[in-house]
Amino acid sequence: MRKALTITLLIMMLSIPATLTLAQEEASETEVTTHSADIKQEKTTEAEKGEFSPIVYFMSIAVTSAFAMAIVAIGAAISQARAAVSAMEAVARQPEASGKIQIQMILALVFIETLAIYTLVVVLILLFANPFTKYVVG
Amino acid sequence: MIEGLPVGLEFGIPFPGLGFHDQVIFTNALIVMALIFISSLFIVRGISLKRPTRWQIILEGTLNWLANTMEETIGSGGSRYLPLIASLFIYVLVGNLISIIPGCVSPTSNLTHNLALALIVFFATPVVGIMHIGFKNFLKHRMGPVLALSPLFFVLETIGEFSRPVSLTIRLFGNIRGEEILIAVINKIASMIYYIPITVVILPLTLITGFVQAFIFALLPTIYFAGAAGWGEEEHK
Repeated sequence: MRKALTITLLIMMLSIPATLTLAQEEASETEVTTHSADIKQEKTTEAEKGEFSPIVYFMSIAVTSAFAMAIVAIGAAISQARAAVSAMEAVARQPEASGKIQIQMILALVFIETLAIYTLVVVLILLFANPFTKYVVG
Repeated sequence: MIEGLPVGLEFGIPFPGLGFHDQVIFTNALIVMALIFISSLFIVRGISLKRPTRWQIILEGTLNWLANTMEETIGSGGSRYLPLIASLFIYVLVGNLISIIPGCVSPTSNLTHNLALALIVFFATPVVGIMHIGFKNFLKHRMGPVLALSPLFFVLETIGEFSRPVSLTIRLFGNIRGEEILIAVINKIASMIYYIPITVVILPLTLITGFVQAFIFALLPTIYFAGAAGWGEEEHK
């Protein structure tokens, strides 16, 4: 369990800069191929200087939001499973209190789920309502 | 924008001074209100004690179930504010489920709309507390057990009070909006490959989420009221 988690974290930490550099290379390549056009020449010089290109920006947003949802899914799944397990044990020990336990379990599950929903909202804002998009796209 | 992403067919009455998305949400909220109003008028018309009609049994069963759940959750006296809680429940339930009708959008998939609903609960909570235990006891309840730490407790309790409408709003919004986006994306993928009416498969998920979120939106105010009025602590005194 712990091994799998560390491996996932390592892969994540490696993959974010890897995708960024890949995107940067792709962006510079695509801009180099259109080098002959006079209008695009300014953009190529900007990319060579190391300016922040839109492709890198959108790719980093996509990677970030996907990993945010993945991490929050791991955490929410583990904690909801713990809540459900203890509720089931309580019901097995005391079947006459099942109604009360069920409502309390639903409440606990909802409070855990709220954290995942917060992340979802942040991801939606990053993807659809990002306030910095206009500075990158222009 | 996060709220203005079109999901399907949308229509709105063109009110002056509103954006298109606000018009759509306003129109759908009006549709939900009209639906509840007209159907309850029809249900009330045929009401009788000896021979209850079908719809009367459904409505009474729902209200009884809600009242029993509230009593079970916070003890006796929990169903004291059933009118407010039940109207919140029915409104949010119909609002969540109206997106099944093609052309309608859930009004609960809008942050502002949900904030308006949550603010009702936010302003009702201290009123309920003061009505039940008096202003002095209400303040004492807020101050905490130790007198020396009372400013800290007061600040913490007040911050906690302000975080409640935010969490109520964002929970409902995130669930309903996320589901709408999910359905839109899956529809897009399905129609890209082949025309598959995949919405039929996801529809049960929508029903379950809409019902559970409406239930939670009704249950959490009950617990807030209980905390403000100290219903659970009456037995200890």
